[in-house]
Amino acid sequence: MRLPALLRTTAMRLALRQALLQMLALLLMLAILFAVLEHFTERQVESALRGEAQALASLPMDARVASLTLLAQLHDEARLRYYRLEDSQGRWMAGNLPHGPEEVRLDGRLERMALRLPQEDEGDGEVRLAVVAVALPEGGRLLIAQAPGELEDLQDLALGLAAALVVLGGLLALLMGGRLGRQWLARITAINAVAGRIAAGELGQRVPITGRGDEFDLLAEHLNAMLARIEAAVAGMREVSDHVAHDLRRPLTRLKTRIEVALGRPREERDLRAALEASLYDVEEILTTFEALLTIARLEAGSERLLRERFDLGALAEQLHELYAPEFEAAGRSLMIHVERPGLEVEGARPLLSQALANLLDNALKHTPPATSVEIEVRGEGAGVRLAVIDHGSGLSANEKGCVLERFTRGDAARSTPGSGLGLALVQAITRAHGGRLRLEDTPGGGLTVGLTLPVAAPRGGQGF
Amino acid sequence: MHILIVEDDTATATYLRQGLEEAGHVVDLAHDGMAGLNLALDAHFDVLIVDRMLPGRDGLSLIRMLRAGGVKTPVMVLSALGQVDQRVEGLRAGGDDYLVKPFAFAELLARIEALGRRGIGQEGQATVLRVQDLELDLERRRVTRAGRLIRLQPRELRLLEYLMRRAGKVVTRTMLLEQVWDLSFDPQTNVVDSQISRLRAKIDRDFDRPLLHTLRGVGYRLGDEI
Repeated sequence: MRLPALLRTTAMRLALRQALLQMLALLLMLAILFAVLEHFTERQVESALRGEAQALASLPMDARVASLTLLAQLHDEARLRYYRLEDSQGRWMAGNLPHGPEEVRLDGRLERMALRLPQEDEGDGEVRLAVVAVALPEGGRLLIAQAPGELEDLQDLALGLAAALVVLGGLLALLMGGRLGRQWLARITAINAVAGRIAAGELGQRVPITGRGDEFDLLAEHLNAMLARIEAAVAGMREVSDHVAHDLRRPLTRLKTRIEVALGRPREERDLRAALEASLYDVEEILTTFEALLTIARLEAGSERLLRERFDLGALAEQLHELYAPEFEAAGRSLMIHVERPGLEVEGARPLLSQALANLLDNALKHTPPATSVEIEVRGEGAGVRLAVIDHGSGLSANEKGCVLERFTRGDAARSTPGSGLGLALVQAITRAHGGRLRLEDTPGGGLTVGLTLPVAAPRGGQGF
Repeated sequence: MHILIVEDDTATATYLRQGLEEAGHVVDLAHDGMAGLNLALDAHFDVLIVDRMLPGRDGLSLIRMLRAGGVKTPVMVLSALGQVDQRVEGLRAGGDDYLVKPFAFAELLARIEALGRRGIGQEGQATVLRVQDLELDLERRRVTRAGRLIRLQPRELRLLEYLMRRAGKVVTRTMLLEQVWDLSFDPQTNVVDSQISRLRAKIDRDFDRPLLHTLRGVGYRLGDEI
């Protein structure tokens, strides 16, 4: 990858920001360290100078002058100390510091000030010295000054080292950031490459998962799950169009043939009428299939804006029971209902849920043997309401259960009975659109139980007061 | 009845007009919303048939304008293959009934005639409904035919009441589902037929002249055989 492109990436920006932050942190730490070090050196110098000054001050005058003169003579490269003894008028009495300061504190604390050094040392220039002064018992004062020496050198060294560390740390952070960025980039680039291929139509592609379980893996998993869903939807759509073609072509062809035959030669009005009536029946069948398909497609696409109302699901079930019971009786079966308790309310599109229950009852009626009973059951289940249609027919094999929810599929036993085969698929779509779940279970003792669990309606009140 | 059709699709409008005229109605046509609104405001119609999607002014706003102008003529709203809620929307706008295309013409005719009657008569006030020798006493919830008491379940009573109020007219399965069972969906099996058969067994079986007739592919009618 070219550098400018690398710099443009999010990963690199993050790396740079990281490096900057690290440098700032290091700088702060070093500043604190340096301040502590400086304080420590000052105290060292101060106590050394004060000790010497107090020792000298405690000597009798002549011994003090002698010692001081001796010490001043020891002044050399390794021991850069200056001494000055003043009388009470501030006049020089002894030592190698001919020019004293006007003002100096006499409590033995370290002070830094610029002083003129003797000729042979530094020419005429003034030099900043560390100075400690004490008052003498018989008046006058004693000053000891120290030129910058090893401790100060140490400070300078520490400062230089710190600067080097900051620069080095920054570079290191930048390097690590860049490396990390490249690593991220590599994975994002991999994901991008797959996404590109998918956009180009290869829906079977999947984003590689490293197995590290990190955020990238999570992203990859989500992308893959999304892809699986899209792929399934596309496959479903293809399947639907195939099925539509198949299921609509059959009755359409039949219709066309019937009309052609009817018009083929002159006929009695009665025959023509019969042909027209049969054609009308065909058209109705086509429209029913078509409408069911459209409703399923809309519900699954989520484009159906459901006008929800709140109603008692048990009451709706009782209504449908009342409607269907005679039909079941007429077909030599019986339809029972059991509603756990009144007030099992759901929030949803009442016409759609009626349609769903009606479809289940239609199915039960069509696919169960005579002289068996079918039960509608409504009861609370967890945080939802379960509506079930329980039959005692031949049931479905595990395999059939899996595919019976697909559009147009019917259980083996039902191949010969009429119906669009869309019934359960529509129920499934309606259930999902209501945030519910559809389950196919075995009825104990044989038969099929279709249960749909819907979220219960939120408690009444709170709004509308 | 005098019916106004507001429909922009000429083919649909023409076949609706033909069908309604053959059923003995007088039909006027308007091809866009504005023309429809003007006609509906000017002349007196018994029923309006209004397509939802119209050039100029859409069907629902036309109905709102009419209602705002105090016109109470019953309106049947027609729409293209509908989503579930369109029906509710149509009725809220002031429509009296709603049909989704493609519909069976028989369904439209039956509903239009029901709407027209709603506009004219107020038989709702009557306490006893009579169709030939069949009587339904609404206050006592009692049914007799030729003086003989017939016992009906509450829902059968409502079914019979609905049929008697529309005696001589065709009622369709979906009309019965909506009005008697308060369900608006399209059952695949003929559940309504079973209900009708049960009712027929009670009111017709022991009598010579059947009153409750099934019109194949269309619906039912209570009254004389045609």
